[in-house]
Amino acid sequence: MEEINEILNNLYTIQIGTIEFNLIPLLKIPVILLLIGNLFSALILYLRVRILTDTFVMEDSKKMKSIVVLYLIVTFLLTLAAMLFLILS
Amino acid sequence: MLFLSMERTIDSKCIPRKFRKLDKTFINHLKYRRGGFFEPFPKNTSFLGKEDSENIVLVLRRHWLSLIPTIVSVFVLLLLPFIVTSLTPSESRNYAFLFSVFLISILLSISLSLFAYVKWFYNVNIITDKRVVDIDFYSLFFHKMTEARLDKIEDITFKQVGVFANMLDVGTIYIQTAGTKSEIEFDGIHKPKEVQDILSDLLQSKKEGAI
Repeated sequence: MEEINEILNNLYTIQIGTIEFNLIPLLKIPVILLLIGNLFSALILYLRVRILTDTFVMEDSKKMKSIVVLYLIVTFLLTLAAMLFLILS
Repeated sequence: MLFLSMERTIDSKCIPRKFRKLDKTFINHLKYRRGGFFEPFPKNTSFLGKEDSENIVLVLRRHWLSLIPTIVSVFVLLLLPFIVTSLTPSESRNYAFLFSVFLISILLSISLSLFAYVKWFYNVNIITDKRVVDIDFYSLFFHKMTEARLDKIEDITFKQVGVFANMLDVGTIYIQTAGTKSEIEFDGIHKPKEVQDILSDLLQSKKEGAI
């Protein structure tokens, strides 16, 4: 079992001469970029819904606006939490 | 198939008097409301440029079954943390990383489902007693609004292509206006033949001066 753990630990390590690189922190970068992109798209969605509620008004339009605001807040909090745990891992 | 359409009868008082007295078949199709994608004479509904005297006859959206690919994607995304956990040997599990994968999958699922819902909600086709309006919300950076007055409409065609479209009675309606290429498309509409009949009768009533 120790051997397996050793193989898994060395799986993402590259050695060039005496310098060792760990690939795990590098793999976290696209995930962090994805999270930032998602947060950005949530913000754009909020702005877009604000425009669309002026274009088309229905009984549920106010509800939709509130849902999108709530979504923006939830996205912000979850993004922060996910980034925190990702950096800690 | 009735549960798929979620049909409910509307109050006859919701139908304006000028439509009730018309001797046309289309009014029979407008007595039922179908789960958000077929809403006859909706209350408190308006759109940019609507005149005070204008009555909204019908609000159409894509059939809710068009949301199924998104529902499947969300389900797969929610399974992702469990797949990652099962693939990692218990001795080398990094719980902080697994928790972050769990949070990311929830976040992306919420984003995906809300984006699909907003897109469905604002991809709307409106038929009034004066015009037809097509609001298309393709992506975050692209939305389009097309309208044509009823007296400019020359031809209404509907198309049903594919097994599922025929099974579920879903199709696309093409509205041809005078002198221009057909630009108005009502896509993924449930019971397109009924909608075509509604539009044809409205056009005829308009020509006769009844509405």
